[in-house]
Amino acid sequence: MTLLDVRELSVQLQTKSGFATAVDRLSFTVDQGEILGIAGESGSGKTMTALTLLGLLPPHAKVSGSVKFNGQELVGIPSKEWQKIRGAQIAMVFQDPMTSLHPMLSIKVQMTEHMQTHLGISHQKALLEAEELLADVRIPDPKKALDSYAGQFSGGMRQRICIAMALACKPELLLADEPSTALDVTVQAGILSLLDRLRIERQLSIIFITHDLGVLSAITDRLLVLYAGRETESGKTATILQNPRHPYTRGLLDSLPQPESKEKTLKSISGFPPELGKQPRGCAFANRCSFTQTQCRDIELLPNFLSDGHKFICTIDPFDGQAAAETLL
Amino acid sequence: MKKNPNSPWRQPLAVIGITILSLWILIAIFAPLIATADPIAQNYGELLAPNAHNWFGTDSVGRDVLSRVIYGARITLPLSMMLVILSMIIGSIIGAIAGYFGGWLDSILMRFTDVVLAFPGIILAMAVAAALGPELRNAVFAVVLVAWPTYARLVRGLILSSKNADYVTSSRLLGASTMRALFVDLRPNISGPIFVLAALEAGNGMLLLSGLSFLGLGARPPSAEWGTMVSAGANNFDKWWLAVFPGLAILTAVLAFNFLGDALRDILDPRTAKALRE
Amino acid sequence: MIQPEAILQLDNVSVTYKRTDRTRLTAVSGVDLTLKRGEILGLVGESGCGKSTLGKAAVGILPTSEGKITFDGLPVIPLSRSVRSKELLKLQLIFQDPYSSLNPRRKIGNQLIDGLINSDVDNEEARETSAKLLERVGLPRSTLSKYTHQFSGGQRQRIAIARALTLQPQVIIADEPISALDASAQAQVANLLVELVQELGMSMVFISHDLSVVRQISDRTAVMYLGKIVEIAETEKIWNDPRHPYTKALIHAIPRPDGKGLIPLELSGDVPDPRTPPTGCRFHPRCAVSVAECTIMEPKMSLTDDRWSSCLLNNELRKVGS
Repeated sequence: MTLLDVRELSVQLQTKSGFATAVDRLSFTVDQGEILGIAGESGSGKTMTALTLLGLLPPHAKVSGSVKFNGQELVGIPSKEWQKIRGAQIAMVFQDPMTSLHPMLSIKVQMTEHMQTHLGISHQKALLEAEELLADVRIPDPKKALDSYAGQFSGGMRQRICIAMALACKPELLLADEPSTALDVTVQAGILSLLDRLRIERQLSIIFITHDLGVLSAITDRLLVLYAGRETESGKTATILQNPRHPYTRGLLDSLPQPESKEKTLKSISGFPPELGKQPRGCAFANRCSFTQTQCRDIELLPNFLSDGHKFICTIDPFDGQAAAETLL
Repeated sequence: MKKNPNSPWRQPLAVIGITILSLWILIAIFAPLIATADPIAQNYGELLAPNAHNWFGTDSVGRDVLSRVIYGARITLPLSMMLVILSMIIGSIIGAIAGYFGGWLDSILMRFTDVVLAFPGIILAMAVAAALGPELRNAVFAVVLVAWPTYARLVRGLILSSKNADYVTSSRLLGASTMRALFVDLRPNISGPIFVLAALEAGNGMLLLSGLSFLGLGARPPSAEWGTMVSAGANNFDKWWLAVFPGLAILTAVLAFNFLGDALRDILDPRTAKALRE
Repeated sequence: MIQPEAILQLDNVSVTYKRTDRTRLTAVSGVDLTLKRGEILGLVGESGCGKSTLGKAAVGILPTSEGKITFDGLPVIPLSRSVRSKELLKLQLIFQDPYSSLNPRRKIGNQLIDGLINSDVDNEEARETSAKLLERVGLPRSTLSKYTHQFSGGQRQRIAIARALTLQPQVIIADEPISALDASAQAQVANLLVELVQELGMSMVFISHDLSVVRQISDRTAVMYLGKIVEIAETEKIWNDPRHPYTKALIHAIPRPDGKGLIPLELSGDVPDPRTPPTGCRFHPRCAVSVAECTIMEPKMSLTDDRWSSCLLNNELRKVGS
């Protein structure tokens, strides 16, 4: 069942030199219980997309297109409506757990206040709920944890608490923006397991935003690759990672360390992503792509649809038929 | 001329501050040419209200108040500058020693600084000035004594925070002694905050100096110092022109320094500078 | 005993911090480490393991509380108020944060010539050398007259590298040099370091929490946990056949972008408080294969097949199997 249906979403931000397009006609869906990954570097529009889904864009931002959540259109709703949705039906976990939790308020206060407001339950009930949530995210000794403060926990624990808080009001959709990037790799593994388990237990849908292809491979069902605010490739995660068709996706995979190769140096995609508002006509990746031809810069690009929901937007399609065998670890 | 968003001209307060200060400096320099009378000559009728001859009226012994205010700039402004420079030098040296050497030397110097700061400025200045005898020179000394700790704290803080900065460490790894690394790396970082502090403290110092004179502990008659003039006016409150005009002089000069200091701080602090640019 | 091929050697080095609340924190405890001439040694570990502290101690920024450090036969004396000895100028460090390793208020050119001026090179020549180094790291000469805020993180890191190279160092300790950079800059700066090390015949310790990068570029890898080194071996051997349980856990925790949807194994528990490390083997509370002895006896690093690892079980196996 489709929980989130985004069609032709565009977000324009106000800059000194006028409006710049941060998200360009993005379309994607998220089903119930599914984890969608959004991959992209900084400037790809991934964070702006997440903020749109929470109604947290800056006031002067222009949003067009449609975002339907459970059938309800979210574009253009007043902030009163957003308050009912944000935190309650759509929740978010951020990258830095150190700044997501208030350093001066006890965990108990932070969690119960939130629940009492949205769910209208009593303080006692909220406390019980909070304790259960903390146990669910595997915080040892939840009773003691409730009386503790953010500074007393490690990074991984803090992130678990953030996840518990995000789930307090039983949202249907969880947005996670680089939730494990700042954590050690052994701790990250724990967070990923946790999210996967919660997804199954609570029929929770997750949009997982990160640039880390390994993490996306581990936890996401489908993947959306963004570049300069535009979609470049999307489909089942396994398909995209095993058979990437867009040169950008290939470039991302190739630039991961290749231990099999005898060379010590890492490959990287030359150049830099375009600055906000300076996306060129035609394909935004053209100036960094090794397969560019004249038509890449001029025409309106049409998507290529392959079987199994695999879609990519490239007129040249240089990897037709080639699997990514040699770039796998 | 390129548009520099950091230019002081963009800040209305800074413009006002600089204008006022420039005017006062000009007035001080050209006092003999501007003043309508000799400031200490008791030529006019006593306690005359402002009139065509004496725009600011006359005081209790018949001196022209306008001329006295004008000549007063020649006392207050240079002395305030001197006060600032002296406290800056003394404070910086003490702060630098404390910050650089650290340890017990730092503790002793900082306790000493704390003691001085514990006293309200005017009280301590009064005590020192009274002990030394009421003379303008002693008043300046007293104010310097009260003002240096702020500079010491600033410089010590800057040195402490920079001592362990990565860029200082890498200078040392490249063969610089700590002294040289701090000197070369710190000089550009310190000058900004120190001058901001100086501009802000100049107003304060001027107020203290005038305050001491007001209390009779600084300038002595017939000296046309603004503080002393306000003092005379306080005794004759219905003769409002005696206190108001010198008081306005102090007010405008102190405000001008404060505006300038605020604007300088906004310009030199990279974070607020960025906010201003947008 | 100094090994002949070692250009930098750490013997039983410990580094202790005195905290403001009078407690002591031993961030590095009894570390033996050797950097061979011409090699790139990767030093990996997770937060709190002490790798950055170790890097700073190796170069002399932090004093050691125990043990000694030898650079090319000479003792490494920690930085003090006086000038560094000429020989030690050949031992340099690249900092993690490119935003604080350069002075924002001084022109870049002036900062680059610092080292050369300190070595009595004349101004003209110093500027020329600096300009050439800038070009070597991929930046134009005009950089000399600019300020750091005009450059991105990756560019600043390259400037920092150029600055470290002005005195032709023999050993570079790179303390998480790419962690603070964005993805595209990371590869570029890592490659630059590798090229320079090979071209100029230097040796490098590359400290990082990013295991995959370390795997690509280093010849040998050392793994740290809670202030101790648990394993050192040729990089490929560590990856294909890790001996220490912590190394195994670390490697298996890395998710692979192969589309197989496998969530990596997590390592249970939290890193213990370094002020009160566990008794015996520091890893035993989280170890899947620990036995009773692990809580009492602290394992020593043992050399087997040209690899060092500190696990009682390994030693036992060796004893039985050899």
